[in-house]
Amino acid sequence: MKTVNAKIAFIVFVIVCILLFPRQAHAYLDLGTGSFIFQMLIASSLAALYFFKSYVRRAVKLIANLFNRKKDAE
Amino acid sequence: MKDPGSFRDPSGFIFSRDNILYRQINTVYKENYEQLMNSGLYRALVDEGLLIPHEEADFSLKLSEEGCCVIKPEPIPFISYPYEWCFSQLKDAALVTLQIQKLAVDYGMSLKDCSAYNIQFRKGKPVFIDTLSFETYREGQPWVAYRQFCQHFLAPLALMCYRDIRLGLLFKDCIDGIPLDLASSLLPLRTRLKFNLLLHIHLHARSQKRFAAETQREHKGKMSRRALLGLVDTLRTAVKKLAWRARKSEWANYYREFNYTDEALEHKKRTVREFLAVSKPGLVWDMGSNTGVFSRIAAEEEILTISMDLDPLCVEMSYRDCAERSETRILPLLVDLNNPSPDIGWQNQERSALFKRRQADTVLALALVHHLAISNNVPLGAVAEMFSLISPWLIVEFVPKQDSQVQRLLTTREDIFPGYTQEHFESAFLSYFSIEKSERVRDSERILYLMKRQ
Repeated sequence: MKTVNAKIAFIVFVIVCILLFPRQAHAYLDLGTGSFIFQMLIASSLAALYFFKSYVRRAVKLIANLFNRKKDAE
Repeated sequence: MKDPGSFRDPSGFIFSRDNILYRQINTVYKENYEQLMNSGLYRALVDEGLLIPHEEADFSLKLSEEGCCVIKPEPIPFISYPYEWCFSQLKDAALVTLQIQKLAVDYGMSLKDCSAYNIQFRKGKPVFIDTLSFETYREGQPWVAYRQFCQHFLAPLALMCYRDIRLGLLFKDCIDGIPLDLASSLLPLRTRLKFNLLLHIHLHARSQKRFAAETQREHKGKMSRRALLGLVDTLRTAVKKLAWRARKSEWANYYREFNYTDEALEHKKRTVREFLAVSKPGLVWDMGSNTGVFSRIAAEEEILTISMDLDPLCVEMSYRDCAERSETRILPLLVDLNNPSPDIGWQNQERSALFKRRQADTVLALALVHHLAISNNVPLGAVAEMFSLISPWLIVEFVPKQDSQVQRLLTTREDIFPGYTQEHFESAFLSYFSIEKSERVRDSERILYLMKRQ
């Protein structure tokens, strides 16, 4: 539930940034620049998500190991 | 001779000399190449089967003054392109690309391009072939190949999964992958409810339009290593979650439902095996191969087989079956014989036409000719000519008009094919081939021929 809320908040933040200053589309498009800037916009949230995910993965692995050790001991 | 598809990258290019493939590395790329080799990344990638291995070659072989060294990459037995791949082939290619990027960052490098054309299939698996795609990773910089990954992999996969499987064919016209604004407009609304697709396709597309006129790429903020790994991780999740739930296809159950008794099928398999033992091919093209039943016969004889069919579900089933059995000798491809892949790209030479690639030594055309002649109105003479241009040996099946399959093709159309008889079939093919052997398939009126080009 918390992850879903975080994802929704993140998306709202990005949409607001993109829509805040609407501009005329220029005929001579440089799509690469848009992709670069988009990455900057989402960078810190991606880092947070990744940290959260790897933290959860590590915790799950630790618990699984504890369980296995318990089983072996029995 | 320079490869006409290898010219955009200033780091180097592919060329051939005396039929051997080489890659010239230019001085501008020297530092990156040395880092690739010395950091351990090359070894790690090759050991995992992710990157095509190469040998160092004689420096004097270089084609131009910009070259600092020459390498000899292991050649790919048969070149194929993303518009010829089924859904799972493109998905596996995407996952391999991301796996490479993750490993590269661990060794202090990063992919500077993520073109789907950097992947080829070798021994049944996707492998990265552009050794010069790696550059030193500079923390803080965004991933320069992100846009290309989304256009070459994520967008077409999402379109194939959520809109229509045939949208993979857009690759033929969109030479640098599918533009994100096009993908965004074609995808159904429900994809906006999926976090990763909303982010990497819809919002990414809007962002491209919004910031297109920015004069500077340097915006406030940096992209940390963790953010880059987060980006790669969300892309990986996005690709993994895309699963094509195929609707039934009329072709996928062909061998189960139609025409062949068990004995007939076994007899046909035995006959094809015998014919292959005569022509002794190094490479077989199995055309109209359906799910690859007869491609497997050729593969069992240790022959590299390109298994071509126009139905996306058949190619998908064939590929998944090969993956399950760890089959290394079959390459399933999506091919429409009425419109086989043409020359495309810069000067129409960048990506070669199907018929200009490595030629077959034997073609299997089983239960195929009646579709070309009757459903597609191609005269038998033209069919025979086509086969004669692409292979010295042909194993072809004649399905007579009284066969139930041909009767089905004729139920909704007028029979304007008085010339579709065994006599005419043989005389049409005898203009180009000699008939070495022929055998009637048990429990049917179909005839298998082994033909040799004159």
